Amino acid sequence: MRIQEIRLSWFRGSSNEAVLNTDLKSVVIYGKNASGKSTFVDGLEYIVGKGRIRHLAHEYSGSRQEKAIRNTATPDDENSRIIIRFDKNREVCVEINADGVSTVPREHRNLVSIMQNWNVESHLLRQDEVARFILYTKGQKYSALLPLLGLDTLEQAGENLHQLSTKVTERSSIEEHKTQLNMLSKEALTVLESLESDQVFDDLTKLAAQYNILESAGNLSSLSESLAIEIDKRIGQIEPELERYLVIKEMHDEESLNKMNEMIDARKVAEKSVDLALDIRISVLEPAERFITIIKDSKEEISCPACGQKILAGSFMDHVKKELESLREAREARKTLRDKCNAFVRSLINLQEKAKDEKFTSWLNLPEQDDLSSQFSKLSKVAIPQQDHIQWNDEQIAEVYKILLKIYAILDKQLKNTPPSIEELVKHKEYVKASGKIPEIQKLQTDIDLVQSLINFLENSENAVRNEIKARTEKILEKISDDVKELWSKLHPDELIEDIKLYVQNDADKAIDIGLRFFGTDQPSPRLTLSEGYRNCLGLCIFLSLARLDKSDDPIILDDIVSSFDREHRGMLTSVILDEFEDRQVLLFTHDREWYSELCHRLPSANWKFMTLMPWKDPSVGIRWAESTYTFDDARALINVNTEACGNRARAIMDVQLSIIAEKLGIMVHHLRGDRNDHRTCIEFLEQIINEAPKRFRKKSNGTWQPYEESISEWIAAKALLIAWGDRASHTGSLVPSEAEALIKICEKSLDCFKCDSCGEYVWIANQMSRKRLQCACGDLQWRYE
Amino acid sequence: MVSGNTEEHSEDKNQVEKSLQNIIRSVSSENKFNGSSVTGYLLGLAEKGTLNTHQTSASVTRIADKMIKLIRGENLSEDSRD
Repeated sequence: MRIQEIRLSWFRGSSNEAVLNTDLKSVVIYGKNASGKSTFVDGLEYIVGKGRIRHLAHEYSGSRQEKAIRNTATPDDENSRIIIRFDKNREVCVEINADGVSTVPREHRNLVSIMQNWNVESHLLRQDEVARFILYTKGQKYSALLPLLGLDTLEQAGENLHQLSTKVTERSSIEEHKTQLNMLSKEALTVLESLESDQVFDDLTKLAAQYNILESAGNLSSLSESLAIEIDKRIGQIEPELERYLVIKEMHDEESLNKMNEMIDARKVAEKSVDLALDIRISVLEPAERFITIIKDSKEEISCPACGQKILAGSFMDHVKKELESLREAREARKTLRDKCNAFVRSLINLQEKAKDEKFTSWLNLPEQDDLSSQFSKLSKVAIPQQDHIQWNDEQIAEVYKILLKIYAILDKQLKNTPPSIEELVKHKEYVKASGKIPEIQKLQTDIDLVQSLINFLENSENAVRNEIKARTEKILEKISDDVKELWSKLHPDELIEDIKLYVQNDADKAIDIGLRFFGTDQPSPRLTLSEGYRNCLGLCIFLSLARLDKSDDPIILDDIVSSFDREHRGMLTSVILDEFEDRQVLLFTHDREWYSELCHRLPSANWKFMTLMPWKDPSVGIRWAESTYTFDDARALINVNTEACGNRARAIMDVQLSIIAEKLGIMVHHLRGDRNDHRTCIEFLEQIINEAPKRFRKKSNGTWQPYEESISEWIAAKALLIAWGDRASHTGSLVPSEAEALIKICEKSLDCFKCDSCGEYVWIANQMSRKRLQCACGDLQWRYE
Repeated sequence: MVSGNTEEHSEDKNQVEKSLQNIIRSVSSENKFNGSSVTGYLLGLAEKGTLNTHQTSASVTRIADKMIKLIRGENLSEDSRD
């Protein structure tokens, strides 16, 4: 698609109306600094960037950049407006009110969304962003390239799969189930030899025979239930004086003393890791807060303020993750402590409850059990922390520990005297109880296996997607690298910076960088050795390669991109633009008068339009176009301000114009020594052109070729005025405005003489050197060498 | 030209969706994943373009819940049968 017109109103530098009409051609727009060139680029970026202009993203521009977008002289009742007209009578119109809220008519929204699909990396390049791709971090390069490579959707798929596996883990409660399974299995294995249901079923069948249970129960659960009923029945038949052994066994199994030991151990670990974690947290998070502010402003490698390591912004997250692990360990220790405290308190309460059991108290109240009785009495007076069991203090722990030590010593002794018949009943009861957990264990295991297979499937799919992205990226980067190499060699022939390539980093996730060979030495980044000028040139090569990769026919916008290029490289760039982007519309903005003049003389007006902006005056006047395509308006702006400078400016413009024209025409001048050779004045060139023109410059008139004498007269007149008024050193009186105006007019007229009246092209546009002549497009104007 | 661009864009999308489906099939078969209903569901998401476009946290949760039900062989409620 081609831009027909950019029409701005009260947007940035434009006042009531500023129109850039391209005639659907590529355009070169010249304007001095602050003449309003970038306002047109801003208008495009506002739409492409969904209301965001990158260079205006700062604290002063407002949340919608409204303070920077609106012309400061905008009347209160006016909105800012951007209208872009394309070929085939399509247009988009965006209205922006004073608060920065923009509206787009419904019928324009489809085209707006197409524009928003333009990738900035391959469509729009500004002066201060020429080397932006090089300056990106490896991760930013990856993110910037991904949409261009058409891989952003695959990347999104990888991300979705990652989110899904995380979400399945969370929603299926697989981790809790694993913990539960682990606990149940551990408990069961203290009694059972194996968790194999066949073996347990066999053992239960044998036990059932021992208890005269003849039913051949179909499954483990029902057999286990039948046995539990039978065993409980037999326990109920135990003689009263022996019943205390059952209670003592239960008390013993509460393992209150062991649980207290576990709580004490967990307390030590938690105290240690919590202290450590707090120190880490303070030492990491405080500097991390400052660190984030720094990395917003700098893409450079900097020292992590927490530990002093040299670290990239992208690596910072990894670093923080490690520190978070320490915090999580501390949190885990805290959780373990809480669990142990709760388990201990539960067992303590159970122990106290069991001590009130009649089967036990009748024995406990016997005089010979005074010692045990007094310990239980002390235990009943212990104040157990009610709200948070974790808050046991050292004194409480010491007191309870001493009591439990004595109680369990007596209970252990009693347990050893348990009659064998009771011991066997208890053992069988425990076995049956443990075997009853087997179905639950199996159910949990099956569910965990299923969910885990789903998680593995999602993770493997994510890995496969990422591998696919990597393989495709490598393939496309190879092609881009070839393009970059080709463009670089055009801009820098015979220079020993070779083998420039974009590559995927193997040791980092989502990372792309640029390597090259610098005078025979391999370099992993251009930032190590290339000068700023070369970095900019490489950045431009990458941009142009990406633009070439983009198969669309959308326009390419280049805003003042040659600031750091010397004349030679600017010339080479002109050739690259001519050769490589013949079929694309290019909007080229420049403040470089010399380059603009060269472009005017080299680019064919059939495909290119040349426009110049007048110097910007104030917000209410806004952007203004010059009538002429020459750059004399820069001089004209000085007529009433500084007339002397105006004359000099006009001369300087002619110096540039005529040096280019002389080169085009192959005008021979005497060699001068040193710098003087490069700083010839327009007078020298004019003299030589005037000398050669009578025998070389021909114009077709009424079917016959005639010397173009009117042009020679114009050049003679121009030369005379340039000598008189165009050089401050050459005249003694002061230049007055009317003289300056006359000088500019004669200069413009003299340059127009090189253009054909019929086709409007310069005389050198068609090179006919095989026929020893240059000519315009229609051939009516010729510069002959014979 | 608008329609041309749109078609080109949707061709690219179709290609991505086909690539995704191939990846899912291949991972499912290489890993002998015992969840044909989940594989089918994920293939459907790839075909519809759901898998390669941004999903909100709520929609990821909905998809994950459905996958869990499918792998557990549970009945799907009316609202999750999409």
